[in-house]
Amino acid sequence: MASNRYNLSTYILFKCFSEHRHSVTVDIDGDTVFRKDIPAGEELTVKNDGHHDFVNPGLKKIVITWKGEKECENKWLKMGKIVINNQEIFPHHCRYHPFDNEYILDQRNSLVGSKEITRKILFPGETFGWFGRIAYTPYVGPRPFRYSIRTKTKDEIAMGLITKPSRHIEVDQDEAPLLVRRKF
Amino acid sequence: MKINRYDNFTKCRSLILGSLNWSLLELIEDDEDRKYFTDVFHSVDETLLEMKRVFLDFGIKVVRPEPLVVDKDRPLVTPFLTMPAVSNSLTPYNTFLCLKDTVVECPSINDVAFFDHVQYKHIWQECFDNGSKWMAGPIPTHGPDQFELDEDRKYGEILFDGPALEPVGDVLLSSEKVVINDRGRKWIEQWYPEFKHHVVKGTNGHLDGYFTILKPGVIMSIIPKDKLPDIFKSWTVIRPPVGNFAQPEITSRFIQDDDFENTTIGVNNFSMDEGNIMVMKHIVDHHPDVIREIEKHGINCIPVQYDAVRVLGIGFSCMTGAISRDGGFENYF
Repeated sequence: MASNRYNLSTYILFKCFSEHRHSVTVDIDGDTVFRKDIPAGEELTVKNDGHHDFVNPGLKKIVITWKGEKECENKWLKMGKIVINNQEIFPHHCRYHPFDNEYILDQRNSLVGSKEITRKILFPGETFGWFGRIAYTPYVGPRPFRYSIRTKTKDEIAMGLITKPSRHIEVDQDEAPLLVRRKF
Repeated sequence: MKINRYDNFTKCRSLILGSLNWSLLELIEDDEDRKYFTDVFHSVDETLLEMKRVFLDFGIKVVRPEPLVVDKDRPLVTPFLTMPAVSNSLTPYNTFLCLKDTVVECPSINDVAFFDHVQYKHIWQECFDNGSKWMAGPIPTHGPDQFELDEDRKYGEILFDGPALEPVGDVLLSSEKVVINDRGRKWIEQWYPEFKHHVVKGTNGHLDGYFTILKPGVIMSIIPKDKLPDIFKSWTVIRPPVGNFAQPEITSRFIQDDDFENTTIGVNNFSMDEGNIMVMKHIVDHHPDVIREIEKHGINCIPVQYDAVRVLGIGFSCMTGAISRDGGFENYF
């Protein structure tokens, strides 16, 4: 029977700008929930405020894809907030995957440049200056296992490779840590 | 090279420094995640180079494990486990216990470390050839029935990790649970009755994730003084910086340690001797108060850049396994 238990309020806010024409897409688990082409030189505030049906508990992927028609120096994407079920995923708790372009490849081929790229990827912060993908992977719903591998369950043993989320989203908001609770 | 280890703070003469097993990246199916971890590995590689340089400057002999290259067509199989690989050879401290003149291959609680010994065979062989002793704990099955006993793994087959035990002269400290169980502790007590055994209450993880003994009388510990074993009551306890961070996404257990609940990376340092300790550079940069407190006791903090520490959940202590230190079977309390 269909359930709306995992149909949760989902709020995504960010701003972006580029000197040239660019576009942003927001995907949640492969479903595009927002897409916009943005004219050159225009600052756009993206605010996606609604509900998303996560269908079932599990690891979910929220991906912001930021592309540009042409590379330029003056461009940025600033993450504001991601809040699911009134629980915040902190903007810098993401994996940043810049697209390979001439500049990135050049940087990767130099000692100093490759270090700079690695540091930005390891410490992405909240403002992004290279076109690419910004991925958040919250776990929505009840936790199937305790965090620690030291106390893993039988099922996990069979899995060999497991993934764990950077942020849990509780369906029952009262179970969420105070630190991440947000009201709108 | 011979084994001699009674502590983690006297002058280190030889150690194992972990190596990256780059072939583990093949196990990451997502292209972007694989690329991300390639960057992480490059960063760790630089950290390892810097660590090695510091160790060599201190005249410490450095040996390295030989990573077992992943062969997707040849999984590693036991009666109860099928694994595509063995855990990263980055953490030599986890699976071995050097104690007195002996190395004990530990029956690790971590199933993906089951075949870890293969990556270190050449090192222990050299030690053995030079007169050191070499033994293995009872080989675990990691059978599913072992996990039904209780979630803290208090009982069940003999299991313990190397860092679940820490010698301090004639004292052998042990974690309370999870990384060692009751049978594991009994096995250790049987083989090492000459030590005074103390359990550090409330510890669910490796002891190097709770404290570092800097020198006799000085301990950097996340555990408050009144919760440490009584033997520390006359010691100075320095509180490490407590990291306030969200756990990163775990992509591969073969690469990352996901025990973020029970580990304070800030204490996971490595002492070259009683006057010098390797500390992560960001701690030196952001917690000068803690560094000053350590330096007050005549201990130099040598900073090493380690940007990927949060992603991996692995500290300097995990990445190094001391084989030989000057200390002996002494009473430090």
